[in-house]
Amino acid sequence: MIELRDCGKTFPSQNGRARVVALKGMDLTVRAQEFVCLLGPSGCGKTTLLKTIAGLLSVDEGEVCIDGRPVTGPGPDRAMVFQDFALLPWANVVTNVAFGLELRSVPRAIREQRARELIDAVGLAGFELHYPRQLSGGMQQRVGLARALAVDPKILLMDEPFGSVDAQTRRLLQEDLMGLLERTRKTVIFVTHSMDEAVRLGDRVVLMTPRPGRVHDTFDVELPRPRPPDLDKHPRFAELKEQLWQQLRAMQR
Amino acid sequence: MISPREHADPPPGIGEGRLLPRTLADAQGRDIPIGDARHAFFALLVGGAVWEIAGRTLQYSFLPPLSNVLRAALRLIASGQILGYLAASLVSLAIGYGLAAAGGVLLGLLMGRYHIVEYVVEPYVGALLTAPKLVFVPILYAFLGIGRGTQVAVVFLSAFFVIVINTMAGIRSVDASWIEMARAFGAKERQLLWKVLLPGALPLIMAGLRLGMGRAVKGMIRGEMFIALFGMGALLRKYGSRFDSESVFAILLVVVALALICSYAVQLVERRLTSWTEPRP
Repeated sequence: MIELRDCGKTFPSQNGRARVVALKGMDLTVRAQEFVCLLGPSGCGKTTLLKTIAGLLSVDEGEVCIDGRPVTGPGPDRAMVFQDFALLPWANVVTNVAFGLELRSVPRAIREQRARELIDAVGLAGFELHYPRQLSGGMQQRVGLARALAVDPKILLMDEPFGSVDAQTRRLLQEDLMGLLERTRKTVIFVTHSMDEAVRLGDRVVLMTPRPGRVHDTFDVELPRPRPPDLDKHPRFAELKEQLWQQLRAMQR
Repeated sequence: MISPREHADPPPGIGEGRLLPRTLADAQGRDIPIGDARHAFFALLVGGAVWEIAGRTLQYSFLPPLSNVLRAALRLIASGQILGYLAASLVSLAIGYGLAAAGGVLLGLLMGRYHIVEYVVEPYVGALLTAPKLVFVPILYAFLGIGRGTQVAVVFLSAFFVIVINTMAGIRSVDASWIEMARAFGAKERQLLWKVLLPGALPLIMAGLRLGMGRAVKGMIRGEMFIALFGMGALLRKYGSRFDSESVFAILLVVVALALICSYAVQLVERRLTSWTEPRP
C-alpha cells in the first residue's frame, strides 16, 4: 500500500527567483495491486509525484510511505517506465532489459536468462541483439517495460509511457500491458494526460489540479476486468470519459 | 503470447543514390573505404613524381629528389641510427601519452561529475590548454634533469589538457534521463560511473584521446629538437645543422609515417568502442 499524506514540493524556478509549487496538500492512498491513473493538465505535478514515490525526489512537507515505511530513496520494490524510454544506446536489448538486475549484481547467466523471458513476454523475441536505435518507438518502450518487469517489482511506476508513440501503437501497447498484468498482478501508478487511456487502463482515475498539484477528484472506473474488446461501446466507458472531460474543462477555464 | 505488430523503420540508403563516386572524406571523415585508399595511393604517386621531377630539374640543395631521400632513408636505417632514435622517441611517447590518457580521463571525469573540482581546476586547465608547452622546459630541467624525464613530461603536457577538457565535456553530455533511470533502478555512485557515465561519455573521450595523440607526437618532436639529446627530433636537428637536406627529408618521412600510424591506431580503437553512435545500419 502506498500512502501520501499532505505532501508538498517546491522547486526554484529557472531564473532562480520565483518558486514553483509543484505539490501542495497532496493526499493519496493506493491499495496493493490497484491500478491508479493520474490524470491532469500539463504541469500539475504528476511526474513530480511519481518521482517522489520512486524515491528520486524527496518531499518538502508531509510523508510518502510504502507499506507503512517512509520512502528514503529508490528501492527494489519499485521500478519505473519512462516517457522517453531512457534506454542505453550502447547496449543491446538483452543488456538493457537486464540492466536493473546487473545493478543488483545478479550473475550474468541468470540475469540474461530472465531478460530473454521478458523480451519474449513483451513480444520482442528475435530482437534480443538489436540496439535501441534499430527499434521503433513502440518497440523501445516494450524494452523499457521489460526492463522494469525484469526486477519483479511490487510497484510499477509509469510516467506517460505511451505518450510519444502513435495512436495505433499506443492501443496495442495498452492491450499488451493489461495482458501482462493479468499474469503478474502489480500495484501500478500510471501518469497520463489522455482521458481515454486513464479510463481504459485504471481501476481508479485520480484527477489532479495544476499548480499547486493536489487531488481534485477521484473516480472509480467500475469496468469489468479483463477489459472486454468492445469496451468503447460500454455505456460506463463513455460516461466516465464525459465526466472527466467536464471536470478538466472546468479546471482550465 | 504477444507478437510485435509494429516494425522498425526500414534502413535508410535505399534510393539515396550518390551523385559522385566516393571521395576522400566520408560524412564524418571516419570511414576510409577501399576506394579512398586507392585515391590516397594515387595522390601519393603523383606527389612523389612531382617531387622527383622538381628535385632533378630545379637542382636546389634544399630540395633533393625523392630517390635521393629514399636512399638516405635506407642508409640511415642500415646504420641503425633511425631505429635507435625511433625507439627512444617511442618510449617517451608511450610513457608520456599513457600517463596523459590515464590522468586526463580521471581528472576530466572528476571535473565533469563534481562541480567543486571543476571550480578549482578549470581556470588552470583552460589556461594551460593553449599555452605552448616548451616554455616549461627550463623549469622541467630543474625538477627532472636534462633527459628522459623532461622529454616524457613535455609529451605528457602536450596531450593531457585536451584529454581533460574532452572527458569533462563528455561526462556533461551524458543524457540526464539515463542517469535518472539508473538511479531509479538503485545504481550506486560507483555503478553510475562505470555503467552509465563512462560509456555515455566515450565518444567525446575517444575524440579527446585522438586529438591528444596528435598533440603528443608534435610535443615529442618539439621537445626532442629543443633538448637535442635523443629521439627523432634530436636526429632531425643533428642533420639539419649539417645542412644534410637528404637525411632531413628522410627523417621527416619517418616522423610523418609515425604520426599517421599512431593516430590511425587510436581511430581503430575509437571506431570499435563507439560504433553505437554511428547512424542506423
